[in-house]
Amino acid sequence: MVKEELYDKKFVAEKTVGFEQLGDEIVNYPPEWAEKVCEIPAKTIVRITREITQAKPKALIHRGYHGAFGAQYLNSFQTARALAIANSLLGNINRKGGIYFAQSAKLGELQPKHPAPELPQMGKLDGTGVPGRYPLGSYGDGIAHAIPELALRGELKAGFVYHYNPLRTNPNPKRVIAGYKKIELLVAIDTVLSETASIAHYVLPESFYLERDEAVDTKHSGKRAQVSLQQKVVKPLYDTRPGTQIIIELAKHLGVGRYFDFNIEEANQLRLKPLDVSLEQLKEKGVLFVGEEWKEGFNKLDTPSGKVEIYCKTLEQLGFPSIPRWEEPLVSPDPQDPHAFRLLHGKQAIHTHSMTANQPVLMALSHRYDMIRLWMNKKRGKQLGLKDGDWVNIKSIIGEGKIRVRLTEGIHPSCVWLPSGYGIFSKNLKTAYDVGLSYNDFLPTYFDPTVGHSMSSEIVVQVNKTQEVRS
Amino acid sequence: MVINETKCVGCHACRVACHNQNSLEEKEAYNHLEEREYGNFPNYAREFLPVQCQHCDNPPCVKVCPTGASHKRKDGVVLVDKNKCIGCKYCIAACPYNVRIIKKEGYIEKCRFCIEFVEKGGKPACMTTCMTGVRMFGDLDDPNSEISQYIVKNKLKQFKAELNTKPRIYYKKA
Repeated sequence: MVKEELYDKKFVAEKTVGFEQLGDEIVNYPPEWAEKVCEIPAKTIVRITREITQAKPKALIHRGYHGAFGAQYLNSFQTARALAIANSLLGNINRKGGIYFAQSAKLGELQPKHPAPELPQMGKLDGTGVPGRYPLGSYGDGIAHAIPELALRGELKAGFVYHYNPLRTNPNPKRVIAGYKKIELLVAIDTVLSETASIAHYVLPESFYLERDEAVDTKHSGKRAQVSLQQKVVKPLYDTRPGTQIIIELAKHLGVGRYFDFNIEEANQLRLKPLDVSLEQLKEKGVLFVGEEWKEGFNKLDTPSGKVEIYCKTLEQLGFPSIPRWEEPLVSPDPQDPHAFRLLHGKQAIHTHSMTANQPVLMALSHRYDMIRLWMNKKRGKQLGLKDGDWVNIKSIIGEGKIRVRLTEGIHPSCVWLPSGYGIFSKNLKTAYDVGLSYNDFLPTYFDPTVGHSMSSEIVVQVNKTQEVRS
Repeated sequence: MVINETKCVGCHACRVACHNQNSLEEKEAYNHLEEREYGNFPNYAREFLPVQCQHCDNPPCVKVCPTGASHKRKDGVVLVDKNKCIGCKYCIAACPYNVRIIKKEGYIEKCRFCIEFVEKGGKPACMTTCMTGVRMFGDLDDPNSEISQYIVKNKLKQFKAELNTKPRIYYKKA
């Protein structure tokens, strides 16, 4: 794009900073170099670049949802930046046919009628937003898989786990279990007796979504802001309560009841107050549009310069590459070793994380369609003497497990892939217990240096044919 | 019905919706997905074909039924009268789409196009639950209906048409 000057010159000049420094870095990454790394022919890379720039700004490169642009590799942070820069060269930021900024409604506050508590005047224990630790880490999300480390160091004594099952969904379960077991007071608010709930000192059972009224929500990804409301359709079948009610009632006993002196109905009314919709309207429709229609373009971005930062001074000051730089993955399988693979993971359409693992209908589906298998490229499988459906042993530096293979053309020869939603080790989840594996069983505890993410595809495994396992 | 297979992402929601609608047992299903893979890495493609009772106009299951339990109504829906069914399973052998099941009570069941619901103005559960809009449902006897026009305009084909079962489900394939 830069070499052939195919980028949106006007957008780059007016809405970006640092373009001049981009050329010095990307000269190291011509299509011929990329071809050797990713096996896509240089000619194809050039062709696609010419085609996509011809269509700009109605052209975009999507960040994917589970590819390399998130928390998968040592260089995922810079990959995400490179992608954002490529999109800015296409000039598609908040343009028709390009990438839109999702609109959120500004909900009303519960104060002053119900005072807001003061936030503790201290940095987050996981170091997010703290200079010298993870200044670029997401303060809002935190680094969840740091919790067992903090507990093992004795820095974390008590906690509530809500809508989350870290013992199964964090990397390196043996270490996570050790960490969480060290917590002196662990309370789980959950809808099922998950792995985490099973070791908690107290479990506060939450109602399923069909059994509870929820708080008004506005986090959506539409061009126009929306508000939505999830409503109860059946009375709770057992002695469970909605999460919001659990928090409101707990607050009283914890001595902070004055901040939670309302019910969900009143809270929702206050949240909707500044908007042009009533709670009754929202209850009837479930989802409503609010706020202005989408407008093309933007004035200022939420960056120090107000523009797209191709060159990022914040990163420079923290000692990170200020223009995206290629870094090799932390680990890679030895191409000479027929048993060595990179372990990837992802979802099949029927499961949602570990939440749905115990649903009998979904387990029946999983068996009916033979979905509890390791995907492997057919050529690699043949090399290992495997037939479709054979049992294999997978081993990484922290874990080992057995599963059947699915031989397919739908995966890169250097990788194998495990679907999530299996490998449950809570004995209380009787349908799912001991069925299949989870990639977390093989993933060591990593914290990427830039934002602290889990580098979840930095796993090399040894795969060998093994004896059939009878259940 | 029209099934636009190009929109199917293989999520199985239609199977689960049908399951709930008909209070089926855990392993029972009236509709299922056929999955196929094509090509060699990296030129790979995958397709999902939803299959349920085709409510054929020339139904083999009706022809072979010794008691008349399997029958086709005037409105085109093929049903099984469980009071007449003796569970001989001849219809299961005769059906080329493999969409009939035997209930533990001993009679045959299959997709009913949610007909009791449809008669009251509803639509089949497999259609309404689908997030990508794979299925259309309507009156094939009305040449001006949206579905009839869509079939003609897109020159849609039937599944195993060569067997001359004359299915009432038309497929848009990749």
